[in-house]
Amino acid sequence: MEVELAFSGWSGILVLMLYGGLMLAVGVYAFLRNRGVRESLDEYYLGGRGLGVMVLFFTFFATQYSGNTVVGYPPTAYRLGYQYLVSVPFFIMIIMVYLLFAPRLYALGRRFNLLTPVDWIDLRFRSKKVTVLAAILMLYGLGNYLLEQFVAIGQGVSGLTGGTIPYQVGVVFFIVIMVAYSWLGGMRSVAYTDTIQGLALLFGVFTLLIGSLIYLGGLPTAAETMIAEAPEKLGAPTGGSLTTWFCLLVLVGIGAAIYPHAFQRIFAARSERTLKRSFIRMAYMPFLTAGVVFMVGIIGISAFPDLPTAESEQLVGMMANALANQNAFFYWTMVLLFGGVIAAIVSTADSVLLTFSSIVSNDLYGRYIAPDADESRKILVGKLVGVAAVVVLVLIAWYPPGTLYQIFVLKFEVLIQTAPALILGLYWSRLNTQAVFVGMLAGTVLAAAFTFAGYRPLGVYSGLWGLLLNLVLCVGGSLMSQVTEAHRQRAIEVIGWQRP
Amino acid sequence: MKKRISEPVKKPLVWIGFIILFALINPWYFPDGSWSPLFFGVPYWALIILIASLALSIFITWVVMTQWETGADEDEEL
Repeated sequence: MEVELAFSGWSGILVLMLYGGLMLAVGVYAFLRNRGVRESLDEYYLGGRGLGVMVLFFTFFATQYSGNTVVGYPPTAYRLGYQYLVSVPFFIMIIMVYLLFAPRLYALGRRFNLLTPVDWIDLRFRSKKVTVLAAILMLYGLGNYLLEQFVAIGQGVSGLTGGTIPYQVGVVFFIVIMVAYSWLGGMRSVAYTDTIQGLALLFGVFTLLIGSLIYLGGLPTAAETMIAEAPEKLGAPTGGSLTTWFCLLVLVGIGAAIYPHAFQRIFAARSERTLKRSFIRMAYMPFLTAGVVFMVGIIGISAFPDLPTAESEQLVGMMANALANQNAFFYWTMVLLFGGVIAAIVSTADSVLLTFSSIVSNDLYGRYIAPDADESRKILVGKLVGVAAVVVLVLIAWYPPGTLYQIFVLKFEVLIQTAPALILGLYWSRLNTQAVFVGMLAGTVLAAAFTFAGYRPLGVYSGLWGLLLNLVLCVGGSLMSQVTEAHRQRAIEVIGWQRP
Repeated sequence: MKKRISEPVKKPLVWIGFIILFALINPWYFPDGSWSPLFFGVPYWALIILIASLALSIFITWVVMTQWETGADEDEEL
């Protein structure tokens, strides 16, 4: 995401300072309203399980749509044309996948006071091996996810301020603010700021679309350009593009629904009704966000024809520049748009960091190292380990290791390997603990190996091959092995609807 | 448990709906590379995909409203 915006220097800095101040104010507000936030894991990590429809909706929204949706998707649409229309249905798939597990998960979360995805795995399997492996995979995937967000914050800030603020200063500024408001108010801060950040992002993408339609030509003009120069961008997908389309639907649908920070948000809902209403709203958001940025990318095809791949990455910056030059209204809305983009990246990063800390607090420190520690101490350990991880990740972002860089790329591929344990475990009492462990481990190794080797048999993504192996081992292993009656009974007690 | 529990995942109708709609949001059923006619610059197949996507959103709404009732909250109050 290297976007240089010539139009914006000091005005960009002003907007960023305002955003930063506003987020801090939200943190202080959340802290003052809920003084007990540092005493209870439930309060700190789940907002006291009391998020209402609006805030819950925006916090789901902010976890799914990041700054990358705005800055990265239009260039892809620009290069692939209508083949990238898949970005609309794949966001709807996420909600569809949620419906396959969220109802039961929410009920269990309430009944057993579940705090993290790992908490659920531990309750279901009561196996240290499985719990620790799942925790490590999640921390690893979340860490890499965070790293990606930090790189994006830095590039966004230096782009928005026309290089006036160096990359490093931008990263440190926003990380300090992010950590400060997260520490102050925990999940409540994160969810409230998500709401502000979500609104900023929505406002930004709509003005970008309206501006593009007014000044840069509409879809018919783009279609004429494509007919003349690249009809394949208009045509229905064939062969390999169809496989890619299918893979994206499956991978994004499952992957984004079981992202640990997305999964954990189900526990934070105030009530089942709240959760349901948030999901219904989420089902329509793809049209308003992914659909809108997709159109922006398509309009770019006629407005900025024939950009090579590297330059096309800057498409949104170029369009924003062109609009900002029209008049004062668009100048300021484009500054706000880029502020919104950075806010969206920060809002994804804060959710990831909070979930990262919660797994450390609750599942590693609280479960195995110091089970007797009081909750405020567990929270403190989670916060400190979170900050330590942030420092390490920032150093990696600035001094990327030459040879091992690829291990920082794996995210989806690794996180998705926890899906069988998380989802099958909800419904299948015969699921064998050993098989879950072997499947998770083997799936991860296969996905990582295929990714490193750049190997993609049949055009199917490495994460999906890993998931397939994982599932085969999980299901096959469970079918072939005997589950002791005691184990099965316990599983039924947990996932059945009988009262404990 | 007093209330009847209903989970989408256990309803055959929900699965059938999801499978059909999933099939429809994959653009395999159009002639390769075809795009004509265009509607306001949008190829016909893209419009059909968008309509199918909207149908999926509407179906999701129906599933959430009518097929999901676990009584989880009443449970807590008892």
